[in-house]
Amino acid sequence: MLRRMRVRSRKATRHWFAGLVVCAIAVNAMQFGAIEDAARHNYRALYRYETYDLFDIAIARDLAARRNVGPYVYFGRLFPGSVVTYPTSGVDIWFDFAPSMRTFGRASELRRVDYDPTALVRVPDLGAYRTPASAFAPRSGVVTTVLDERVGYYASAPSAREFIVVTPDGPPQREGHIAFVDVALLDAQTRTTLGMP
Amino acid sequence: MSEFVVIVLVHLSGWALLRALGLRDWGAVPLGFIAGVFGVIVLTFAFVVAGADTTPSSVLTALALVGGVALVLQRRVLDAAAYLTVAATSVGLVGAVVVLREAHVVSYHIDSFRYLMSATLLASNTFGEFATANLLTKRMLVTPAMHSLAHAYGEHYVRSLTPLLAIACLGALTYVLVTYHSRAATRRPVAIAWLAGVLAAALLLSINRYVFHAVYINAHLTVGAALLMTAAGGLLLVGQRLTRHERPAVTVLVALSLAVTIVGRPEGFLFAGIALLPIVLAREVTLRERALLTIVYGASMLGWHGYVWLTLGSRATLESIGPAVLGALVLLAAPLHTLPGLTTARRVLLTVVFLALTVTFSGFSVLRFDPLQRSLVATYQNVVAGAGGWGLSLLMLAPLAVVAGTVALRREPSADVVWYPLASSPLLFFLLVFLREGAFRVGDGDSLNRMLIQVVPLAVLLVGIGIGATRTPGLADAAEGSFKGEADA
Repeated sequence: MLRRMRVRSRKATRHWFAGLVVCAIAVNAMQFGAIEDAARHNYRALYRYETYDLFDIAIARDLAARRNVGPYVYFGRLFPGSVVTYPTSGVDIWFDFAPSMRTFGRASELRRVDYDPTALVRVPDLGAYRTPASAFAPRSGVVTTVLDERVGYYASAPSAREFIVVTPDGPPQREGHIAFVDVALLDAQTRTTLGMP
Repeated sequence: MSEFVVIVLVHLSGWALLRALGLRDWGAVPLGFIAGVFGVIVLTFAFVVAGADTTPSSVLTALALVGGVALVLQRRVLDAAAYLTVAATSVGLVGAVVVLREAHVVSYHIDSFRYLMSATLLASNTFGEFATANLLTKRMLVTPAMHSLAHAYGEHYVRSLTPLLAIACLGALTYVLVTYHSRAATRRPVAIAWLAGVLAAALLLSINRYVFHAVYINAHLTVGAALLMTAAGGLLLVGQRLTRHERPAVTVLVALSLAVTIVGRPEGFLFAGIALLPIVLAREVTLRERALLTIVYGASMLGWHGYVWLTLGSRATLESIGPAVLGALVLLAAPLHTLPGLTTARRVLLTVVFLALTVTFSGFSVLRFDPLQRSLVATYQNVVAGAGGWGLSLLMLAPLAVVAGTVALRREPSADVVWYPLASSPLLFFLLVFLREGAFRVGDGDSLNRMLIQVVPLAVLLVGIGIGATRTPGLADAAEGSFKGEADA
């Protein structure tokens, strides 16, 4: 008798606890949709994007990605396999320059040379050679405006895919401008300064 | 090569390895996938430290070799059921990859791109040349190693890998609970064992943040899977729910999990250590198993953090130097695992470590109360007030785990393998407040809010133990016979 009662008690405990777990599952399931609705798109569990390409997704939607990933990604798409010369100092940027150029920028070679990136080239003089963001980024006002503020690609046509990096406003950090200038656009004296033929 | 080939290869290699090491039932399917993913990470880790080729072809070749050798070694035990399992899971995986590739569901944060940066460096074999302090000490190796495989077919991340790992964890959770309950000394009805396994998996799946982390490009879910496998494997070993033939497979999976936890997150070595301690101090764990796990723990810490220390030179901080030195000390102290008094003093040692953590935490709290206070307020907002996307899930899970732990520990002492790291985790999490630059923040993206998923599966495992735990051993259930767990100590 006692034994039967104990077995019954054991089963009751088991079911009581399992019942609580079922209730917890039900509450979680009911809240799932509301949590989705409240979260920003990139923190949602089941948000379906129009593409799988994380770079396109983020650059189209997020300021941080636009500023810190966009300049390298579009450089890599426009000028894959380029040789890029950058200064030994003055290119401090939130996403470290060298690994970003090697990976997202798809640079085949990176050269570090001692020069002043703020004064080496007068960027405004090269305006005719600039590829505007509207030519390579999504045609959204805010996206192209931010990209144009953040990065400039100045290339001859056709480009030999050899660039130098200049930062006319000083270290770009999180918001400053960074420019990639085709070596073919540099005058002889500047090229000599950089040790180029 | 395509994503289909990569996923099937990862799974087959892990499955073959565990099968060759003695795990022959259906558990080899989910555990095999996890072992395959962990194999990719550990091989990449070894190649980085050794300065070997880290391209996807090199890592996948090594993985296939491991799986191939395992298959050759077990050729005599490959029966029709095994071939059927391989065929069915491969077809299932290909179907899952098709669906997951076309779903276009992915979650990210700006740091996700740093992980992808490291993945590209690994894939181009330039990690040693370009990896910065941030990539080495914060992003580490787990996510980069996994997604570097996508470069084998010209993409930046393996779209189906983390979702499939999340699904495998649900399968593993079910398997471990079914095995744990159905092989208890006071054997429970199979229906109860399955109820515990299925309800636990459903509970985990119902948590919105679990699904979010399944598609999130970050290391949290993988580290959570590794901690789950450490505790779940430890549970089966310490609870003596495995045959002598099965124990090597689970021991190796625990060893892989320890290494993955250490190279996955900056705080990983702390969590791996706390999860390992109740396992290596248990008398049910053989000397050989203890030695393997201790050496893997020490060598992983010394290997990774020593590598970072050497790479950064004078820029290295305590974040790398501390775990590297600790790893060396663990290796030096490894022979002590044979001391006979260790297992008898298990409870005392576990209590002393827990008290040491509490005292350290209390000391820091007094010295730097302000960031702790701000972190506690932010965590309250995230977990209780809904800012972190958890809904009521953690508010329900925490008391369920406490009740389950209280019930289970009285009847199943081996459950402390899960309870101990889980109970220590709040102390470890909030200790991080004092080691990082600022307090935790309010919102989905806060690091503690994301780190919580690393221990949520442990809490769910404990709830699963509670579902099946019997009230009084030795009555009617005992009449069904008992499983003779074998520890060849």
